[in-house]
Amino acid sequence: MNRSSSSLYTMPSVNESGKYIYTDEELIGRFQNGDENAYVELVRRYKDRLINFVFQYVGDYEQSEDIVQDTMVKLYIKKHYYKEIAKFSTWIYTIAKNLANTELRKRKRRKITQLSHMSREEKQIDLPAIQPETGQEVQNEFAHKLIRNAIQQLPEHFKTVIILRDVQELSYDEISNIVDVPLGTVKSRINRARIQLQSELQELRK
Amino acid sequence: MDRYQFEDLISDYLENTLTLAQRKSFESYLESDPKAKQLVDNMKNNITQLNEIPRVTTSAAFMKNLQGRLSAERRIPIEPTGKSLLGFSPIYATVMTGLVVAFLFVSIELFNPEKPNLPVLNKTFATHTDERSNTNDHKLLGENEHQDFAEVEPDSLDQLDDEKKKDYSKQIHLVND
Repeated sequence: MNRSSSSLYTMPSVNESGKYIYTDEELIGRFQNGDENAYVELVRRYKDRLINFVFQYVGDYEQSEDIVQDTMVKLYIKKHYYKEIAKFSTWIYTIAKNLANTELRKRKRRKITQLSHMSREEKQIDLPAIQPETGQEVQNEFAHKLIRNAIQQLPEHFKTVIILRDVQELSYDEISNIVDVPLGTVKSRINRARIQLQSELQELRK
Repeated sequence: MDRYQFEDLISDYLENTLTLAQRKSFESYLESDPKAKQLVDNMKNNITQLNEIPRVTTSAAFMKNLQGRLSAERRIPIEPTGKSLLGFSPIYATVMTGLVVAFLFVSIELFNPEKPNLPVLNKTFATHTDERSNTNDHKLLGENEHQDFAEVEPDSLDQLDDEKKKDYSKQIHLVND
């Protein structure tokens, strides 16, 4: 086994002006041709972006990291499935989104099973106890927690697009490719998601 | 502009993608409806907050854990399955070879036209010969011979059968007799 396949080590990723030497698409191309350093570089570029996305999506850090790991393992195993007709970022976000959806569905099934075994008195869903406190930092933290909780209340199709647009700041085109719906649908879905998020926030603030 | 049209255009307004005419119409609607203005302000504030949500990062052990998982993935297809002979493990290869050799041996022994006298059959015939020589009912093979039937001509065998039939007929007794 050569060195590249036995360990994950870095390759120079930026030039002197701080720009990437290789684009994502060039890196995945190199990886498809057997250069595992390119894989490592892709992991380094995307691990934090993906965990941000997945964390907002599932709301649990440990599970999010597991999902990102699964995404990276899938990237490693299924590297030849990527075709350069789409951006690499779209492809990797799609993998992460699908894995996160699978996790949410599993969680939903578990919840239903647990609820079905609970008595009526026990069926009160606990929301995280968030109390406004003084101080700008604490207020900000409170606002962020509140907005994260509001995101969790959204239906999955709204949650995905609002995270991709307003947290990840992806373009409408990229979101359209990731969620695999037409551009117009994405625009109207984001608009409705924002309106619903506002009403969820109002509910939580009551 | 009605409420539905207004709601459809909120994101376009916030992202500044409305045409000038649409923008004017939208803003005049906002002036006419304070609740609508409040909604737009709140949504603008929410987007800012979403952009400012603190970023989470992967843990320090992320790369190490990933490396462990990749090593495990790499091992799966090349999991040691032992040496193989044409796809068989040594034990199965030995057993299969033994079976094939045994099959060939039995086939050759049974169907070889140049070697019709099988040891097993010779032994059987020899036993029959012993029995017949003891009874002394006939002297087909000569007085002192202890000859294998393998060496007997086929015609002689037919004769032997006929003689035997005669012997049986002598032993038949009808009930009325």
